[in-house]
Amino acid sequence: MLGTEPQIIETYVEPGQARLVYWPMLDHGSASRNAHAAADCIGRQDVDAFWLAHDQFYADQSQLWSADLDYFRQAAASVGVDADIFAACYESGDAHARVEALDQQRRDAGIFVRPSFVINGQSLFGAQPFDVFSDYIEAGLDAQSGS
Amino acid sequence: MPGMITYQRLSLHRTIRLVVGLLALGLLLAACNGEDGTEGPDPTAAPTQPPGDVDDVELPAVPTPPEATQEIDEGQTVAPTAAVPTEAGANLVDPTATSEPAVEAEAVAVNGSYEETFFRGRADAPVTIIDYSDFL
Repeated sequence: MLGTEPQIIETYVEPGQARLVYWPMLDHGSASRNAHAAADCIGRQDVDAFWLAHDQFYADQSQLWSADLDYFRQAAASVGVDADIFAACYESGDAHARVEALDQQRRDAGIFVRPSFVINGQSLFGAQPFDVFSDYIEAGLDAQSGS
Repeated sequence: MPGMITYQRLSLHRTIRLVVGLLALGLLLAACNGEDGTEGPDPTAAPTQPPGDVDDVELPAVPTPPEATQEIDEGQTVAPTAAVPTEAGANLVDPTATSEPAVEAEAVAVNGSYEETFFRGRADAPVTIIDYSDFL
């Protein structure tokens, strides 16, 4: 999550002009796979809970390196989803397979820089100030209104 | 003896007068009874008096009002409903009509699935930002 993301959300996402898509980047082995798989399992139960967990995981990234099922169960319960259903999803391996497939798509698309963004098909690599994001988003809005 | 005859005549005369008077009185009474006692009054008065149980008379009068009151109540209940339908209908329609579109808008709007992952914001937003910058 970027420092500019809250501003992007406030300026464009909440007013309904843009939507922000989460896409996992599994650059840190099993820790990345487990954390993103846990978020995926939470999201399968409740999308809003997914975003709560997403923000929580980002804030507690240092905990994710050693996070196990118990940690994720507690995280799932804390955002309001059923911990047992979550555990069954997590242990099934399906969520791990899904996030790995998404990560493979990312690699196939040539996205290797962290952070990276694709705004209406336009790639933006590296951390950028809000104004740069705004230019891309406004261009996307103009293109939509002109078409 | 002429005195005896005079007395007898007087006596007879008095008797006749008495009889005539009694007859006249009897006729008068009979006439009076014939008009009043036609025994017609019974049927006529019957409804009013026999029920003479004033209660009965009042009951029919009371039940009528109550029924009317109930009808009125129902009428009022219906009337408002029927009269208000225009107003109430409008009131009901407004919220319903207002909420339905809102619900639909929200259903389409906030957060959801994007391919195999999730998005934040309105599904119909004109700009899509894919963020590859998440945790770990």
